[in-house]
This record gives sequence, C-alpha cells and structure tokens, in this order.
Amino acid sequence: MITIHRLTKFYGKVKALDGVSLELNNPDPLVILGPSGSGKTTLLRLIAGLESPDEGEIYINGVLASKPGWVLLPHQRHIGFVFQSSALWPHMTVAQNILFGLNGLTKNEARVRLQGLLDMTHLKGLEQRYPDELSGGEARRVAIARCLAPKPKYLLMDEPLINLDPDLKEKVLSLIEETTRQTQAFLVYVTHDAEEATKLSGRILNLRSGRLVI
Amino acid sequence: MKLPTSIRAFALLIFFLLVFSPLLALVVNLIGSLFAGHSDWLGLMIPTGRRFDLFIRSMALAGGVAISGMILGILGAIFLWRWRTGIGAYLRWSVLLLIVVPPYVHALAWISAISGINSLLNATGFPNIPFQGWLGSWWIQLMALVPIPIGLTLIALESVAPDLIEAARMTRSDIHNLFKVILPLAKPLILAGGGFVFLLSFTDYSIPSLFHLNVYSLESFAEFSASSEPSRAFLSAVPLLLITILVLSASQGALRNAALKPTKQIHPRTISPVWPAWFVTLQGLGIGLLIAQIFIPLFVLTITVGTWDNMVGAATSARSEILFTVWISVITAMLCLPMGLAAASKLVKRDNDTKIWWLLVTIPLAIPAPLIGIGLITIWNRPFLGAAYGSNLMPILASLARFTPLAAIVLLAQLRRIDPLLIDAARVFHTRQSKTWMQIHLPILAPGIMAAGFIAFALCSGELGATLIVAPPGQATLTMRIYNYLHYGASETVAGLCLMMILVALISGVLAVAVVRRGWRLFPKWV
Amino acid sequence: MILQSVFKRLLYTLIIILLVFSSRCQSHRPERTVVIYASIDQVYSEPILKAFQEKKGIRVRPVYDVEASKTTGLVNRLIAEKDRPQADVFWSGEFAQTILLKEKGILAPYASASATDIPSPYRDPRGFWTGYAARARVLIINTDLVSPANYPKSIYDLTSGRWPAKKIGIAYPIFGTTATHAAALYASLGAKEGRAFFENLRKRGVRVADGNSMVRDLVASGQLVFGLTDTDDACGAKKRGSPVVIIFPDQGEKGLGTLIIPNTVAWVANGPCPKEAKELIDFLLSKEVEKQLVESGWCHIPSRQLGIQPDCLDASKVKAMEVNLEDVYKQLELAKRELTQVFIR
Repeated sequence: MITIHRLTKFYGKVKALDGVSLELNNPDPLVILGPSGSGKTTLLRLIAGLESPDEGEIYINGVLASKPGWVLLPHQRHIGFVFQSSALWPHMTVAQNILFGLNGLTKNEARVRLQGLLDMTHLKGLEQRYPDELSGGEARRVAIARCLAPKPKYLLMDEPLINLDPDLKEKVLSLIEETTRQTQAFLVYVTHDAEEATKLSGRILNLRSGRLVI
Repeated sequence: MKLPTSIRAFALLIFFLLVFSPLLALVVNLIGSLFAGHSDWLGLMIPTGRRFDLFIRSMALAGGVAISGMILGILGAIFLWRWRTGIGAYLRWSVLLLIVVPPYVHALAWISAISGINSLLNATGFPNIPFQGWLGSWWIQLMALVPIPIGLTLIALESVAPDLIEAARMTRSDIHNLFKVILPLAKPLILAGGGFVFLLSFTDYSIPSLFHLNVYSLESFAEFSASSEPSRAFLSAVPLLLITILVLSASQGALRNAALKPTKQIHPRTISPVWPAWFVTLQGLGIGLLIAQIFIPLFVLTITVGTWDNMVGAATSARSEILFTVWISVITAMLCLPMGLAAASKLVKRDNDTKIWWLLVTIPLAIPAPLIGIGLITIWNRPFLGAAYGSNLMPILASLARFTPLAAIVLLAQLRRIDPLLIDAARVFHTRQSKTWMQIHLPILAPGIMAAGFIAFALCSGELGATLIVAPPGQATLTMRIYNYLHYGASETVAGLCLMMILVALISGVLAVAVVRRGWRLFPKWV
Repeated sequence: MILQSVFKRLLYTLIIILLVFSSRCQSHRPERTVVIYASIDQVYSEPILKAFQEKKGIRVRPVYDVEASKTTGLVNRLIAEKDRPQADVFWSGEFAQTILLKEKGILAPYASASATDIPSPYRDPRGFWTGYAARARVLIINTDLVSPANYPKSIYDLTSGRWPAKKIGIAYPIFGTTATHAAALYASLGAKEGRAFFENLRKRGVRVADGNSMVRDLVASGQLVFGLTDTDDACGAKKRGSPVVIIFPDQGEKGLGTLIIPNTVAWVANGPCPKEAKELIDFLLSKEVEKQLVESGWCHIPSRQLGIQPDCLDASKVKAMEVNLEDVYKQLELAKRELTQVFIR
C-alpha cells in the first residue's frame, strides 16, 4: 500500500503539486489523467523517491518513505519505473539493460529470468542488440522488461505510449496489462490521453494544476 | 553536426596548413639531410640501451600522472557536479584557474611548502618527505595538469542525460550506478583528459629535470642542443610521436557513439547521491588535494609577493607582456575553434578516412615545441611573406600549430554527445543558416567550445618553446618574462606576475561560464 | 543560394587580421630600428638597450633568450633564419655558441672602433665576434655549513669525497655555461680525462640541478654545501644577503685556473639594418657599457681597465684557465654528446 498525505511540491515559485492525498491499495491499476503541466510526472517522481516533497509525506507499506528534506532512496522502495523516453543505457545491450537491476542471482537464475522477460515482452532474439539498433516499440518494451526484472511490487509508468503509432500503442498497452496481471504488481499509470486511460481497466484520477479533481 | 560544406572545406584546409605545415617543413628538411649523406641519423628513431630506459621511464611517469589525474579528476568532478546553481556554478570552475601558471612555478611553490613541512617534521623528530626524483616529478606534474581532467570530467558528467541516471537509481545504489552507468557514459571525455595529461607529461622535461629525474624528452632536447640540427631532434622525437598516436587513439577507442541529450534543465532539486563511507572518505581526500593544489601555490605566491606595491610593480613592469599575452591567447583561442570543429567533424565519422585524420590530428601533438618554431621559420621567412614574418602573427601561428589538435579532440568529445534529432529538427525548420548556427548549433556546442577555447587560451598563455623561436623582436609573452625573472631570482616579481596570470584566467573563466550558462540570452538582439 | 554570410564575413575578417598584423609592424615603426637577439639576462641588458635607444634615437627591438630553453632558443632561431636574417646583432653571455654561429656562416666580420683596447684573446682573429665583460665559473659555498678553513678551492673538490656527494651540485653539463665549462675541461685536460672527471662526478652521485640559478638557490638555502655556478648567479645570492661566499677555483700555482667566459657581440650577416647594427655594436662594446655591466652585477671581470671595483668580487688577480676559446668550441659538440650519455640515464 502507498499512502500519500498532503503532498506539495514547488519548482521555484511554481506549485507543481498542491496538497495531494491518496491511498493506493486497490489491486486494480491506478491511472492518473491530466493535461501537460498538471503535475502527473511530478507525482510519479515523488512516489519513486527521485525528488523530495516540500510538504507532506509518503508511506510505503506503512513505512515512511518521503518527507520534506528526506527520502528513502529509490532503489530501496522496490518500485519499477518506465520513463517517458525509455532511458535505455546506450552502452549496454538489451540483456544488460534488463538485468541491470538484479542482484544476488546466480548466472543461471539471471539467464532464466531474462528469458522469461524476453518472452513476456516479445523481445526474443534482440538481447544482444544495443538501444540505437532498436525501433521505438522495441525500446519501449525493453524499458518495460527492465522495469519488471527485479519483480517490483509497484510499477510506475510515465506516459509509456508517447510517440508510438496507434497499432504499436495497442500492442504495448496490452503487454502492460498482461505483464501487470502476471506479476501482480500494482500499477500507477500516468497519461494525458483520456482514451488510453479508459482502456486500462482501473481507477482513474484526474489531476489539474497540481490538485486531484474529484 | 556539420559546418556548411564550403566553410568546412576551407577550415580543414587552413587546419592542415597551419597545423601540419611546420611538420612538413621539418620532414622536407629531414629528407634533405638524409640525401646529403646522413642516413645514419635514422638510428635515432629507435631508442635503444640508455635511451630505451629513458623512454620507459618517461612512459611510466606519464602513465602514473595520467591515471592519478583521471582518478583525482573523477573524485573532484563528482563533488563539484552538484554545484549547479548560484555562485557555486561559477566557483566550481575555479579549479581550472591554475592551469595558466607555468608548471615550474607550481614546482617552486610546492618545494617551498614541502621544505616548510619538512622543517616541522624535523623539529618533531619525524622523517622528511623525500620530495625528489619520481615523487617530486609525479606530484608537480599532477598538480600542474590536474585541472584538465577535472574540467573535462565535469563537462562529461554534465552531459549525461539525467533520466539515464534516474533509471539506474530505481534499482541500484548510487555507487553501483556511478561505476556501471555514469562513468561509462562519461568515459570519452574522461579518457581524453587522461590522454592529454599523458601527452603533456610525456613531452615535458622541465619538471623532471628539476627533481633530478631524467626523461626521454630531455634526451631529445639535449640532442638538439648538441647538434643544432632540427632533423636529428625530429628523429629522436619519433618515438614520442608514436606513443602519442597510440595513447590518443586508445583514449577515443571503440565506444558506442551515444546520442545523449545534454540539457541545461538538470532537475536541480533531485536527491543528492548517497555514497558509501569509503567513497566519501576518498572524495574527501581528493577534495583536500584539490584545495591544496589551488591554495598552496596561491598562498606561497601571495606570501612571496609580500606587498600590494610589489604586485602593482610587477604588473606595471610587465604591462606590455601582459597585454601581448592576452591578445595572442584570445586570438589563438578564437581561431582554433572553427578549425578544431572542422577537424572534429572528420574525426567523429566512422569511415576509412577517419583513421587518416586521427593521424593528422595527433602527430603534431608530439613534436617538441622548438621544432614547431623552426618549421614555422622555414615556411614564413620568405620575401613575399616578410610582412607577416616578424609580426605578432607568428606566435599565434605557433600556438595554433600546437594546440588546435587539442581543441579538435575536446570538440570531438562534445560532438559525440549531441543528439542528432536536435540537429535534424534544426535542419527541417531552419530559415537562415546564420540563424540556425547562432540559435541551435552554437548553444549545443557551447560547453565544448568553451572548454576547447579555454584550454587553448590557457596553454597558449603558458607556451614557451615555440614562442621563443618566433616571437617578434620587441615583444615578449608573460611566460618569457616570468622565466627571465625566475633565472634572475626576482621571486617577488615572478609571484606577482603569476598572480596576474591567474587573475586573467579567472576573468576569462567567469565570462566563459556565464556564456555557457546564460547562453544567448545575454545577446537577445543578436540572436 | 543563401550563402553562409556569417562565414564569408569571418573569412574577410581573417584576411583583415592578416593585413592588420602585417601592416602594424610597418605603420608604427620609426624611421630607424635595429633588432638584437640577446642571451644576456633581460634584467641586465634591457636598461642598456633602452639607453642606446634614447641616446641614438634608434628603436631597439630585442629578442631575449630564457634559461629554460637551455640555449637552444636564439641560436637555433638564428640558424633557421640564415637565408633571411631578422636580427642585426647577436649579444651572448658566452662565446661557444657565437663561434658556432660563425662556423655556420651566420655572422659577418666587423671591427668596432670601441673594441680596439680589448685584448686579442677576447677577439675573433677575423673579427667575427668580440668578447668582453666576462663572467667566471666559480664555486659558491654556504658559509653556515662550511668553515673558512674547509672551503673547497678546486673543481676537483667536487669529486674529492670530503663532502657528501648529495650536498654538492652542478648544473647539467650539457647546456649553457656548464657545457662550455665541460668543453673547456676537454680542451684543457684532453677528452679522455675530461670525460673521466664528469663520470666520476656522476658515479659519486653529485646532484645535477636544472641550471646555474638552481645551484645558486640550493646552496643559498642550505640544501647544498657548495656548487659550481657563474659569477652573476653567485653574486645575485650574495646581494640578496644569502650566507654564501664565492671562490675562484684552482688558483694555486699548479692549479688549472678559473674558466673566464666573456660576453660576445657579433654582427649578423645580411641583417636588415647594417648601419644601425654597427652603431649598436659600437655602443655595446664601449667602455661605458662594460662599466655598466660590471656595476649592475652581470659581469665581474672586465676586459680592460675601467677604474672601478666590482661590488661582489675582486677578480683583478684571478688566474684564468689557459685555454683558447676556439679550442673550447671545437670540443663542445663532443663534450655535449658524451656527457648526455653520462648524465641523462
């Protein structure tokens, strides 16, 4: 469960989030819908621990994870994150990108996990390619596979379908649904596209100017 | 990223002429000597026996300085990387200031400091620090040259896309991400910094000879002194040349040509990295050394100057040298940039021509400075070029010949980090070439341009070997004046002049950083 | 075609810069100028050249050498410029490089009227150079570390073993006046014995410093007990109040004598301003200038009677090493080559 309590975030004089409170414990995906500049990405980054709030707290499974001036580090939160730009490391192969977040596995275990993820995300045969040798859709799937590799409890996805063509969007979206179901991770999905939001069978919250609109 | 074709061709031609022509003149001279019956001189190309030992020693010293420089550069740059806002954004570049001070002056400051420390150690019954030989040579070269790897590493870190770092932070600790993600992405410039330091150390004899460590470049120089034959000196410098090519090629070797996205908006409020205790300790040690690197020479120079009157007196006595030095250094820095950019655009490609261009760019770096001067005299001391020869142009040509290749390599590292989509977008939407250059290309290239320009400025202002050969009669650079006073023993004047050089570097550095940070907002109407 | 107007302008700017640089040296040059390449310390030579400029109204454009270039600077510049010399006059703090330039055909003979009273050993027989205002190779000793009774008196004290080798210093005998001194020993003792002397120095582990001024500083600061340097360097330390004494080595009856190194002035062949060059040479070789060089502390052994006593040293009775300057020059290349092998390892 993720509990967000009166979260506020400023960027200079701009209030990006304004007293957002939220509880994420429903097993269904949570979709945060809002236009550009509404604070969606900011909210996701705060949940991920990439930034600290100016006001309010975040609790993850009852443990304080963020407060003004302090955060539990991102890699300690067991959260997966898919960035808008995929953010694949260009000097690593697909396999290396996916396996980066794994620790403490034997070689064999890692190999098995990798194969499973490649199968799940339909990336078989591409494991030795580099990011600049992938198409946009392939890169996005690698980002999803990487996010899933450490078996996180929570998946945060920041506009994962952006810049994809409609056909590809369908495929990636169904992949997201399928993998979320398989891994039973809790999905927080951010988008500005209302149609996309409705396709994911989950709770939709609207964010406007940093506030939740009910 | 390309300059317009005609301009690029012109700039490459000028690059070739200016950088390579002194070398070609030396080669022609050499061929003449060989045909005149001196084919036995060819044996100088292969260091054997005593010369081989000197060669290996030089490589070991240069390698040690380069590796320690890179380590210190990484530790320092990572620390300074967080200073992105306010006065810190300017202050962090202050580590580069002392690059303008001649290494010899660094040496004298440290010798003085160590002498003081040793007195204290003696008084307390502890053994002295043996500041001679390898230790002294390594330390002084490291202290004199470390600003280069720090500066280049800092630029490299600035260029790593933040979302790549954040993606890594999601799953692994910051220290793991440093070694697996950040440093690999910053590798080209880090290695370039190490390569430059290796090269500058390898070709330096003044510091090792000060600490009684004989090196190969001193042998090469002794050869020139004994024979007064540029061809012999050139042949004995050939092994230096080969090593230079190898080192610079290796430092830019098989790396993925990453299209990273440098951005000015680097989430200033992101969480600071959390380092383990051992790394914090190491960093503290590194920062301590860097603080010493700046403050010990500054402190010793200030104490030696003594009074403000001495400082003013030094500046007044060397007024014309100061102005002359700033003038030729600024012109050199400006002129080397378009040529460096044109050469860098050749280096960034991955075709068969690239290897040839690598040779063309790296070979001049290994030629001893006086030989560059001799080569320039051979070319320019002609009846129809008489007006140029003997003018202020000559020391500029000498510095361009020596340092444009360095500028090209710094610009290459910047070119490799540019997102081609940004350039493609500019190509789609551009109206006027000049507007596209001013508003898109130059701001993207700005960090590399500033780094290359500042390095060229700093090295030019401290250049001695080639400048001495071609300085116009009646003019002298500040470095020439400093060395003259050093020999005479006027330490207050030397200290005052060195502080003056640091001040000039500080002003130019602040300006450079301001332009990079504020970009073209400084000149809205011009843009 | 939308030409890259900015870059065209850049090109034009470059051309203009070239023209400006070219024209600059024409437009501001007074009617009479003379170019001198001087390897005398700038501190000493600059006032003299300024005095000439004021007296004669001829603008002097000097190029000074620096010790860090280890004498490869100006000499090699002159050789490279041989076909189209830029310099009119060469003024050196020693003689071997001047003779080298003569041998290479860089110099032209000129018998200056100011030099008629300079003794013949100081003058080239064919008039290609004139020497005067000499320095000497001396021992500089730290008086805090050595009592007067134990002062070294000979260059052989460098190898005698009376003092720890690490506390004795010389400059590299491959560059500058130390190289000239080495060549003089080769000429005086023979190449074999000359080389043996330096091999012995090396074997003992005598400290080899990066120049005569470094030897001076090491002795003055007490890091060395004594060393071999030039009179101007040694007197500089004394003038600054360092605890040093200066000794002319090998003055005994059977002693080798002290190497005297005259400054030399020469006329560069085919220089651009021959008339002005001769006027400058006459001025430099005058008694007044030699007196000035003595009074400034650059030299301590005048070539003729000046009626003054140098501050730092009394060289009136110094026993000079009996060696012909041309013979010293002839040994220079051999000495440098051999000693490179001995010391750079």
